[in-house]
Amino acid sequence: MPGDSKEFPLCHELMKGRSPSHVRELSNSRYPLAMYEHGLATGETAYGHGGYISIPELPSGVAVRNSCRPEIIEESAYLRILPPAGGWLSAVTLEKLASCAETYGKGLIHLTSGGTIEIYTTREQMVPMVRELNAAGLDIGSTGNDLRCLTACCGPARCDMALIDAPALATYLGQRFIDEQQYPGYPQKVKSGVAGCPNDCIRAMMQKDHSFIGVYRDLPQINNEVLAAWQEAGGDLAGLIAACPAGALTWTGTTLAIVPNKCWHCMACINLCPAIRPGRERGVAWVAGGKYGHRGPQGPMVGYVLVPFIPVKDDDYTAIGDLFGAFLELWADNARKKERVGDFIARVGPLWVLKELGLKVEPQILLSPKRNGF
Amino acid sequence: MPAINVGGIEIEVDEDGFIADPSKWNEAVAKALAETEGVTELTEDHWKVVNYLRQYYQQFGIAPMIRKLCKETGYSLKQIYDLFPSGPAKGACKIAGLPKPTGCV
Amino acid sequence: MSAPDLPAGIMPDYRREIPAELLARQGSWVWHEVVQPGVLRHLAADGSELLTVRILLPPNGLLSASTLRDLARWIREYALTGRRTSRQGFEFVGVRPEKLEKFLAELQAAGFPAGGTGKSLHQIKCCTSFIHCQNAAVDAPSIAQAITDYFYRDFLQQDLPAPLKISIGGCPNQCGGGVEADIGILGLYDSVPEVDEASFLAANIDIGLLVSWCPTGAIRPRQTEKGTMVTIDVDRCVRCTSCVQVAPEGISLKKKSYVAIAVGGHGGNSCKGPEMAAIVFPRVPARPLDYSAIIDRIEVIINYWRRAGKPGERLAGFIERTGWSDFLETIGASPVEELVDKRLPQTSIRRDLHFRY
Repeated sequence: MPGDSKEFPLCHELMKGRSPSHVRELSNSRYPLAMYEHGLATGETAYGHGGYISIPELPSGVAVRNSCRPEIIEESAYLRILPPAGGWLSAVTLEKLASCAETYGKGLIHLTSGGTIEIYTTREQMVPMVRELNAAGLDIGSTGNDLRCLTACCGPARCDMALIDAPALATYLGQRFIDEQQYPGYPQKVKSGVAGCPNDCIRAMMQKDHSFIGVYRDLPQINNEVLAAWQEAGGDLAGLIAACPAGALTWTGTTLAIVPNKCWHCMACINLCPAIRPGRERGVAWVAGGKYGHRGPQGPMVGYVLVPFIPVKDDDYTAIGDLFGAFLELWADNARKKERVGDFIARVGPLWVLKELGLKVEPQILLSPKRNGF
Repeated sequence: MPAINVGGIEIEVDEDGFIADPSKWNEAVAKALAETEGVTELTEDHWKVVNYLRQYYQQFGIAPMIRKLCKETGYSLKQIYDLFPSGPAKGACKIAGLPKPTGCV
Repeated sequence: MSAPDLPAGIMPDYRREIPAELLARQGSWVWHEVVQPGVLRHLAADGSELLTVRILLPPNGLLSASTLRDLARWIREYALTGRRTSRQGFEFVGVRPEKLEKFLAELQAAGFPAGGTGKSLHQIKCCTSFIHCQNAAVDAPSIAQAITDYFYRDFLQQDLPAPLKISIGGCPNQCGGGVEADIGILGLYDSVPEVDEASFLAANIDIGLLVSWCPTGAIRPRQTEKGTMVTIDVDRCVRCTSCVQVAPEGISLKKKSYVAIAVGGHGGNSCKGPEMAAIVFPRVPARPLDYSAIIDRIEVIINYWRRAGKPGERLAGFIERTGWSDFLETIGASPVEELVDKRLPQTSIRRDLHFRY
């Protein structure tokens, strides 16, 4: 793009660096670079608030950004695609997304920070693009006041820490609650995530309104033979013992052991040493209320742990799905307009939620008894 | 301002096709608005939704939350979209003669 | 019913993205290690291995169709499948060991270097901002680009005390996650929203929602002869812009903006539980494309941690060990009165006598 350095000097500046450049991608597509240049030059976005949009046949998954520079582009529409859980994208899917973006869109794909995939396009091209996506086994959704995309970590297909099959659970929930992802009828958006272990690589407890985190309830398994080999190869046993936040690791001189009632069931030792593997009694913890956004009285917050352990056996996710659905109904029936789950639980109280859902208050969810008499 | 023709009378609508003066609404206007939304025939199911929206709007001055609309009429949200392809806000509320909702929330 | 039934929706099954030979080994992994920056090796109990190559993508996960085709071609030639990471990076999973060196060289030549694993700077996560969003106060992608360019070496090497994750959210919505990361950057507004009386009254605005959604009660209804208006209390307003979302027709915002820099956010439950990042520089200019004020401050933070952090110590753990007073002083943070949470003082003001001098 030889002419661009004069026409779009700031955009051009962003292509000079050593690292991969988003402007290089934009300029390889039909994205109107003048809109971005406007933002960079004025310090204000060239996009305006989107109005109501509804495309017959497409209740959600479509949105429009208004333009403050209609002479460049009158408006910018985009589709939001429900991604395969765990971020998995095969060559076939990548090529399908590329061809859809080229044929019906601006030739640009956006892997969003929320986990979805967006393609910028026009209103007219939306229905034909969705038809083609549908034929390829993909669909749109996750906009407005609906159940937003179910993100998951990569799961046991690649990870040695996975306690549950996070992408499988996310896929199960996504399939069971597909209408909730495609027909926006809630008081506010509700984001969900499934993480395979307490390392929570997708930060579901923080970012998602509603998350299930893989946990184990028995003790980490220690293999003293592997431990000896690990030490032989330079493994730092003293460092390992010191790394346990609970002080639960003890060394007898010949074997390593865990003091049962001290262990927090975190991942500290498991992350450091191949001789310590997660326990075998596995399930999920249910966490609700996380959000990054500064709207609402609570602002950004980490979610509340509502249930410490729901067993998962034989890939049967029915009970988790029932709880997921029951909670969404409870929230939707009782939340105020635009009240995120975190603000809702802070207002009605975690115990009220558990009572309404007929769940027991497990002692593990208590951080500290109250320190007043009310 | 654009307008739709109902039995020879011009009814003003805004740029998104919502009726400019909600007091001018009547059943004939509803039918004319329905055609702009691709709803060729207003069935008993459509009227149930439209009448509920009007009743709620007259009582409270705002459109009901979508969830309330579904619960009170007994239709699932998917069924509402089947009836009104543009959805409850832009489709059903427009046909019911409610003013255009604001914001992108 | 008169209208045809809408078709059932499709939630794709992730298993179709993974070839059978990899699915068959699901759950067999017992350990993983970082072979070199950008290359992970997962080991199965039977001794078999799985290589993953992680690359740096442009900020914000924006990819042209031709880049997407490159990724697909690389998967076909060198790996079993691919995945986008939760930080907007990309991984090739099941890379053929005999082709690894050739693959890494090809990625490097194509401008998508491998890195961002282990004790390095990971992919910077950010929102779309001025590229395609109406809410953005600052432009997160260009800030991400500037930081990645400046600390490029740290992406390719693994000599930091621990992993370093940086996230940037361009406005108070924080879609980019500025509150989540070891170092977070939050785009914020300076200006208070303004109500335009004529256009406010002309639009059909949900006043109840406008009032109930304001987190600080700064917006109050007021009856006038022409109808219900609202007043915004400048002192109470925290510039979250919820009101602009509800009533863009009647409430607008002059987009004067800046960023706050926060430290010590971390997910995961190993040792401490997840925590949002804490703001140490509440007001830093972020006018595109002059981001030197941001980079200078980040560099001071990273340098101190690099110098004094223990191996394996994330920024949050480092600050916990050294103490806030030492950390704030060393990095030259803003005065304490600018760092106290005015709305929730119990989270900011000490209620014990454990002072460090």
